[in-house]
Amino acid sequence: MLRIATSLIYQQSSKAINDRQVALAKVQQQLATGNRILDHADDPVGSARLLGLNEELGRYNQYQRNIDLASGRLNVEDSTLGDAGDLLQQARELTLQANNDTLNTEDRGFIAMEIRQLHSQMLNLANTRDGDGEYLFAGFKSHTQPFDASGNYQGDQGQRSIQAGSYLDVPVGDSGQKVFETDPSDPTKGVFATLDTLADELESPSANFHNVMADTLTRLDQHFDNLNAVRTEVGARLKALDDQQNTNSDFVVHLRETISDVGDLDYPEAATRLSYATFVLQAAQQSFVSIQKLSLFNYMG
Amino acid sequence: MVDILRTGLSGLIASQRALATTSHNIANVNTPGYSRQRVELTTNLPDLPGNAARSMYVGTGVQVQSITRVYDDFLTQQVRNHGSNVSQSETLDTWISQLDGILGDSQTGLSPALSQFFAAVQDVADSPASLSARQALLGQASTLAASFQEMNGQMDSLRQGANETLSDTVTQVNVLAENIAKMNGAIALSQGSGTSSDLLDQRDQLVADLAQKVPVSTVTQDDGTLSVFIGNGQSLVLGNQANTLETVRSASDPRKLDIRFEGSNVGINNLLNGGEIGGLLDFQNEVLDPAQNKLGLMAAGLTETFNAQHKLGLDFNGDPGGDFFAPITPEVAANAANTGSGALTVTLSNIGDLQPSDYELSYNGTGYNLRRLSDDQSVSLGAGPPFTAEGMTIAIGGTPAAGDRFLIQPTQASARNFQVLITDSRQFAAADSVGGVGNNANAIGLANLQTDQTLRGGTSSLQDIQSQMIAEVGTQGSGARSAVQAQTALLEQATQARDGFSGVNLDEEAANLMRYQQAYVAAAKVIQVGDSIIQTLLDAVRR
Repeated sequence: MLRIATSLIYQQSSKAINDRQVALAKVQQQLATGNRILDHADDPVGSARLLGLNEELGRYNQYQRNIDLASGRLNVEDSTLGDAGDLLQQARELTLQANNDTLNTEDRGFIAMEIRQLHSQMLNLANTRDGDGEYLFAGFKSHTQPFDASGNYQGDQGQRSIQAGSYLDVPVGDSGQKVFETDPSDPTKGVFATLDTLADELESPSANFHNVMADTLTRLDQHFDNLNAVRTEVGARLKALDDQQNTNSDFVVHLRETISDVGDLDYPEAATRLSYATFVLQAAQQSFVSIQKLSLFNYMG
Repeated sequence: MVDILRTGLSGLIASQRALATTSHNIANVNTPGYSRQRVELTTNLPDLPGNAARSMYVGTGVQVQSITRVYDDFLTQQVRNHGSNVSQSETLDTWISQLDGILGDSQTGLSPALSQFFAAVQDVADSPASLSARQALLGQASTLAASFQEMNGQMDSLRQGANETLSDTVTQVNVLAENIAKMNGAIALSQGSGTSSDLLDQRDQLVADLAQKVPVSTVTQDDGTLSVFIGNGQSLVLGNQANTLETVRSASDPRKLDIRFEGSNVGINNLLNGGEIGGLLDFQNEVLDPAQNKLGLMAAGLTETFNAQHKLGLDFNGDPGGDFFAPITPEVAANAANTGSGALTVTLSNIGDLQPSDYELSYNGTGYNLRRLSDDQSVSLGAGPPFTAEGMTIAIGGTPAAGDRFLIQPTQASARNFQVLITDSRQFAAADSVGGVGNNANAIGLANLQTDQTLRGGTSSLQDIQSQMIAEVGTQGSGARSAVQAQTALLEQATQARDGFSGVNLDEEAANLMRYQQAYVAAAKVIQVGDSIIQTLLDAVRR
């Protein structure tokens, strides 16, 4: 015959009520925090996954920051190169003008002064600094002014890259040598040497003045082509950064969705659980109250 | 006629005893471990009047033969054994959830500090010449160091807490053993005059309480005393004598406690695999040790890989990079029982081969044996000494004696000792060997260490190790949680079975109360009738 001890009725009821209260407290905490996982034991794999996903999210946010900084630097370089191209165009026009036989020595002297002015402007452009005070065209020696007053290159060939994505490193600068000296092995063929030679010739023309002018025009064109080639490269890098930024943004959105899928509470499901837990708790309480009323002692006179 | 009075009186007395027993049951309805008692009634020996025929036996009433304890040894043992299991799982669950809270998540603790540190490295890669970016990197490095130390410190205090609880629990075991021994003494004394049910219940309850601390087996002796054994048959209580347990600092691992009998120098930890004590030992050995070693492996891994890459570069001043973080030295402890003069010097030789485990090196008089404690595997040492194994180089100085043992903990202290060595941000070697303040090539190399799988034989990144730690502790936690539920259900069933047999049911007692009350009233009526018969007779013979 099955017997039941009276204490068991109380123990079972209070355990049932306690269990329901624990379930209720849990769903309450989930609703309050919006987190599905309250401690790692709730979902060990999900917890570990969230850790990795958030690390990845942090890295992609950092890539976006790297891209912003790199874009800023490359935009400065792009406009500097554009300005330098304009200066070369002006030098070209002045050379054509000076080559005209109708000009006298005094006129050419004025043009020489303008060329010297262009030289000095070009030097300023070549020694441009970015927002952090780093020289744009000094290679790795970014705290060293890349071109001295006579246009000699003081920097190195270093080219810095930044990480724009997991698989994309983008160079964010070009050495002054690459930009302003067409033939790195021969500094006398640089932009500054060309402008110097031109001004010298205009101030004191030699016997083969027209040959020098023709030569200068050729060299100015070469410099211009070189600048444009670098500028195209910079444009391509900016485009690559832009593309990567879009790719990164898409991935960040995807990461956030995944993080939300893994870690965030499904509110409708939790609300259902809340009402179910409340219902079951009430049922447990009601059944306890009605069962504990049942006693033979109630009927003893 | 006097017979009627005697018979009535016997009914009166029997009903009184039965009512007393019933009220004793009612009074103890909520007493833990109480076994209900039952009055066993039997008829008195009948009278055979001297001149009557053989078939004329006259009944003489009732007597209480005994008051028995409704008790089943098997059911009680079941409750006790399941109680051991439940308290083991509960202890494990409680301590794991404390550890779980320490580990943090993606928003708090080590993980964000690690991410922010590497983000700061990237910031320097963006602007290697910027002293403010470099300074910010040093700041993040210090934050990271503090996070490592903090988490490790919390694990240390958890271990200390577990040790204190263990020693308290052993004290409680001693008190319970002492009380059981005293109860044995009392029961042995009362044995001749019939043992009191209540004493037996109280002793059983003490044994049940004891079983929550440590699993026990029991044998009842002829004199009524109960012998209590723990482990694989070590006697804790014999008769009225209790043996005392004590906790001492472990000879092999000074962070831990060994449990042993007073007067013995043999630890019995590995025999105590249940109850609160088993839960506490499991927590330390199976959960906390691996977690702390993984944290240590992260710290050691970051230190070693970062330093190695850092040394390849040149700093802001063009000088070669030095150690960025303080180098890691494995911890070595010679067993307190060693008799030789041997001393180990252990250095890290290859961080990629290092495992998150402690090791024991033992010397048998002719050769050395290295045992990896995380999975209890023997590891090949190769030629030596010095030996190179598991990413470590082990050199041996002095002369060890046969039987000497050494504990090697390559990663145990690395999180505690994790710190930034560089104080001047210019010393951060962002440049590669080409140099130049605008050179960030080495900073990029350092930033890549965040995701490079440099650890555990090239299978794990730093973050992977942390994920492994969290997944492992989480899995152990959820395992303990399910074990609690399963074991509790079994305990409930066992309790239901035991209480169903031995427990008090108030309705039943109420019925008994009415039944014996009526019997009492009836017996009293018998006496009244007997009295009135005598009166009738006296009236008849008066005058």
